[in-house]
Amino acid sequence: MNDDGLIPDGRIAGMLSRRAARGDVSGLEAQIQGAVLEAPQRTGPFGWLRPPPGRGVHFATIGVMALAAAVIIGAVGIVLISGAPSPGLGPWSPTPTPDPTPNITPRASTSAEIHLPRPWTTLGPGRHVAGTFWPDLRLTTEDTWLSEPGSDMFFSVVPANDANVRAVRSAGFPVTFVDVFRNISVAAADCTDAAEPGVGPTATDIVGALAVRPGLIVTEPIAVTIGGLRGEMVDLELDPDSGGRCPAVENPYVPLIYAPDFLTWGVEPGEKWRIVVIDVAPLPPDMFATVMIVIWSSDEAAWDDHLAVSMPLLETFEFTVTPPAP
Amino acid sequence: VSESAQHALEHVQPDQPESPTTAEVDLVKRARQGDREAFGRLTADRIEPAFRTAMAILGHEADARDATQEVFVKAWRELGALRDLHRFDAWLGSIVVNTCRSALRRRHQSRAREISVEAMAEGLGLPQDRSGPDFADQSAELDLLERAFDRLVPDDRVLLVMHHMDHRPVALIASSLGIPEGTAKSRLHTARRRLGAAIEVERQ
Repeated sequence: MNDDGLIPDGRIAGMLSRRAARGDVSGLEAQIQGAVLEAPQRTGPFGWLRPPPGRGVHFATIGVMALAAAVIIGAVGIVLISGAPSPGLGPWSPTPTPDPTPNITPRASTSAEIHLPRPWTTLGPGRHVAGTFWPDLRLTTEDTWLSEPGSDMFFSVVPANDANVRAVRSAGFPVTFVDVFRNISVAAADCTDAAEPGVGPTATDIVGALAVRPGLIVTEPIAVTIGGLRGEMVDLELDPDSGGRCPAVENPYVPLIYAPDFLTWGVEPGEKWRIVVIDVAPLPPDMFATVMIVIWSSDEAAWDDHLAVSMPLLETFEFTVTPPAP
Repeated sequence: VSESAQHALEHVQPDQPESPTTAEVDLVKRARQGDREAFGRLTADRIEPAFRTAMAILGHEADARDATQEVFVKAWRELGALRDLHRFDAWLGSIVVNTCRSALRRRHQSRAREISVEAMAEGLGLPQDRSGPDFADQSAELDLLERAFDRLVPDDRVLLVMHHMDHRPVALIASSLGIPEGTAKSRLHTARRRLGAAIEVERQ
């Protein structure tokens, strides 16, 4: 053991490498190919839009709605997909490929041409586009923020303030940030790696389920409109008297939000959360999508200041919803 | 914020995997459109690394093979959800660790009760002095360490494999597990402490 009581890194690495080297991989590729042959692939954008529980996706209806949406989008003059430059965009704004053909698919369909922001890119004062996030999100910063790597379903910004600088220097990570997710479920209360059963797909459903989760101190949900989309918002923290725990987590812990193969996250002592969930609209009938914004701090003392810069940032959010193509 | 402070923040960034080649991005595109042959070519060289990671986490060949198959079937099924084609490897890596984590949890849930290693050590009144004699036999040492590793809960195993075997930076570990970086770092430290406690249990 090291002086600090920990197993040296090299020994752990050696043990794991030896363990990993065991086992015969032969035949596995053919086995996987066989399984893939039998597996249907979720098609295009429908894989990440969620029908309400117990209801199927009606492709014919979606086709009609997509056509209608194209008309709507054309009418409001969205220039994003046309590739026209947008004055005032920040340095990490993607440059859409010019395409004279009208296109109603989400912009992410051209993601191969989009230059993602580098991790921890500085966002100076100005207007920015949130990478490949869907629905398209633009925001305006007055102060300096940093952005973390994003994807079509995740985007994060960190205030470049002294508290985060101290935290980065001492522990290597910030104490405050704002995360934006798409289609996040309420995590199962029993700590299993799953969504809580019985929770509906809308913002009201999700916030309502969070508001009654045992082990938390939660404010009453209030209605909000962010970037033109409507939803609800709550503040929450761990109830120190609850004793909520999960087997794999050492500290008191209450599971909160979940997305398969992407996210499992819960509340720990001392953390402050503001969660805003908004419904993405307009979408075809029977389709739901939500955006969840998490304003988070691990330091109660930093919470008020964090809110003071985060809420004005949210007020600058502008969403553009481009419904999926059939 | 001063320039140096901003510099400090900007340097907390995960290592980025090597950028995929144009040919690989093209394979991802074709596979997303339902081309199984393209998916096969894209994944052929990625099966063994995924299997080795699964072996390290799960420790059993049959379980690792099942998990690896599940990973690639899931990747095929969900490829339409991958919007940034350049991040295929990062996306696949998340599926690998989360599939193994779920497999371990299923295995744990089949047990009557899951006992934390630290609670076990405390309950047994084990000595806190972990300095112990050095091991003369490296193989025996690794055996002991591996038995201790098998006592860890799923999240601890996944964290240790991602950090010590796959050498992923904390930011990418956090991203893969969907937790804040700070939480990932503290859980990694906790996992190492639990591994130490598990060794004490194994020594008895």
